Amino acid sequence: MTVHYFDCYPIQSRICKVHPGFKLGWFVLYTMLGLSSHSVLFLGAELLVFLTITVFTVRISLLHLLRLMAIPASFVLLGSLSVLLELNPVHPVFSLNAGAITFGVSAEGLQQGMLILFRSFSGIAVLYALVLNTSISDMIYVLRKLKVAEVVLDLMVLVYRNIFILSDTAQRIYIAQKSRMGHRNLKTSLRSTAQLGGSAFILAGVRAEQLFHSMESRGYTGRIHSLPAAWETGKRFILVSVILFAALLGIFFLIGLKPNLINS
Amino acid sequence: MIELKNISYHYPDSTAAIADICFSVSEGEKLVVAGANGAGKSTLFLLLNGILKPRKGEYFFDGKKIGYGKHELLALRQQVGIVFQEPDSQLFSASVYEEVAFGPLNMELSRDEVRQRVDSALAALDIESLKDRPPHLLSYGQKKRVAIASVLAMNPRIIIFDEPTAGLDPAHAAEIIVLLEKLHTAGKTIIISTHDMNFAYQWAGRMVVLHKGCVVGQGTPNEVFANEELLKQSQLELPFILQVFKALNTDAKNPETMDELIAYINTRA
Repeated sequence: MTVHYFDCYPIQSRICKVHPGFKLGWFVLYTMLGLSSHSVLFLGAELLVFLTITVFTVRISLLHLLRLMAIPASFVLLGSLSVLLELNPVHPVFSLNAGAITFGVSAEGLQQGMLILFRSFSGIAVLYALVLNTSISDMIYVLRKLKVAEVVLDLMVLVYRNIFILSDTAQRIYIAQKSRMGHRNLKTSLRSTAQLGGSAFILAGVRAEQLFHSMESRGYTGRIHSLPAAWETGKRFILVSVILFAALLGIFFLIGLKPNLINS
Repeated sequence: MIELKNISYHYPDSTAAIADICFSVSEGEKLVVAGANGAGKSTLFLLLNGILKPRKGEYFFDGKKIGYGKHELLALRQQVGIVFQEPDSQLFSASVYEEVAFGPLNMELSRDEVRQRVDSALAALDIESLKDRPPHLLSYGQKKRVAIASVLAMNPRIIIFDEPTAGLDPAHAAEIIVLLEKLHTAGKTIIISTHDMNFAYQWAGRMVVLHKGCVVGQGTPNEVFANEELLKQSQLELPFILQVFKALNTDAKNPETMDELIAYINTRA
């Protein structure tokens, strides 16, 4: 299942030993840069840079990375499409008549839609560079240092774990149903899916209770403690990341603040 | 070391899971708790670890009656560790290292002490190479070893194993049996539930047989397996060694291991 893929990447990352504080810091800076930019060109450049960074550091193929990015892509595309398309636009770049109604794309809508699309994708690329290079335990460690409430962090750990239990349970039920022809046609498939929905939560609940027992048996009293890992943030990482940020910041001041590049 | 006096436990639907049992464990014992599915073995283990609170009866540890206050329970759980049958129900952390550190950290030990315990538990189970991996990406056998290491790192005096070899291939099961022997030699008291009567016969110092939540028999493996009525009632099968030895129709002393059986057959041939 797709969710299983995500956390096998941080282990193989070239920068897995880098302190997660640096990674989170860079993530915040680049996200702010992306959010402040009004230029499709700059956002496109940021997207390309981060796809390259992720492919290099995480050692995955570009195709695989794009496939992982396809999960949020559907939401972004739908969101951008709703901005792009207008009813009865005044000065359409492109229009389509459907009886009394005209669907179309205005120059302003196109600019806005493209900006949303590129801003979202560059943001996703920056986020993926963080997520695929940082394990959840490192992330929780740095959030704890940032004084995020303990209850939120413990919930993160348990939700993270229970996502796998839930997906695994659902997968097992699906196989059990399929082996008994539960998905042979639309009718049986609908019935089976409804049963799967209900049963997966009940069974995952049972497993979660067993998990709680096992945690209690090891002295759990409501707080999950953790040990800091031995990070080694190399000078090379700091040097390369500072140069990269300086370069992108330069591009940002050159073209990143101009909103109408698409028309020029 | 452990003594249960007339302990009863009922599930919320009022079904008696454990009914008025008396049960004791001595220091350094190798105890097998046997019984069919649903006999109450797992419930008994949860009672021993203080996860479940008995409805009736008293629990003594080292001669002191266990109360169910927070501090007493924590102290009990440091002494009595439990390795659950299903490793997926036990592992929740993002990495193997964190999983094994979970118990020692709850004991509020120093960081150096925690690291030392985690390292030696990982080494004992030969899983140092897995320490950075998320437990849910491991194979069943590896998960089982992580689950054992996570309890071992707490250094309990008694370790309870609920079906430690279930679901493992013969090679991995044999490794676990070797580990059990090592732990016992290191001075741990071991309690095991198993359906593998061949293993129980050769390994156990003493056996307790449960049936419908009651202790219906106990004694050395030879005493338990000599009681045919008990075996029938509790749906236990005779170990292979004894089945063969019985077919030889001899009055000689029962062989305790497969090697002894083979040696006896050779002397007759």
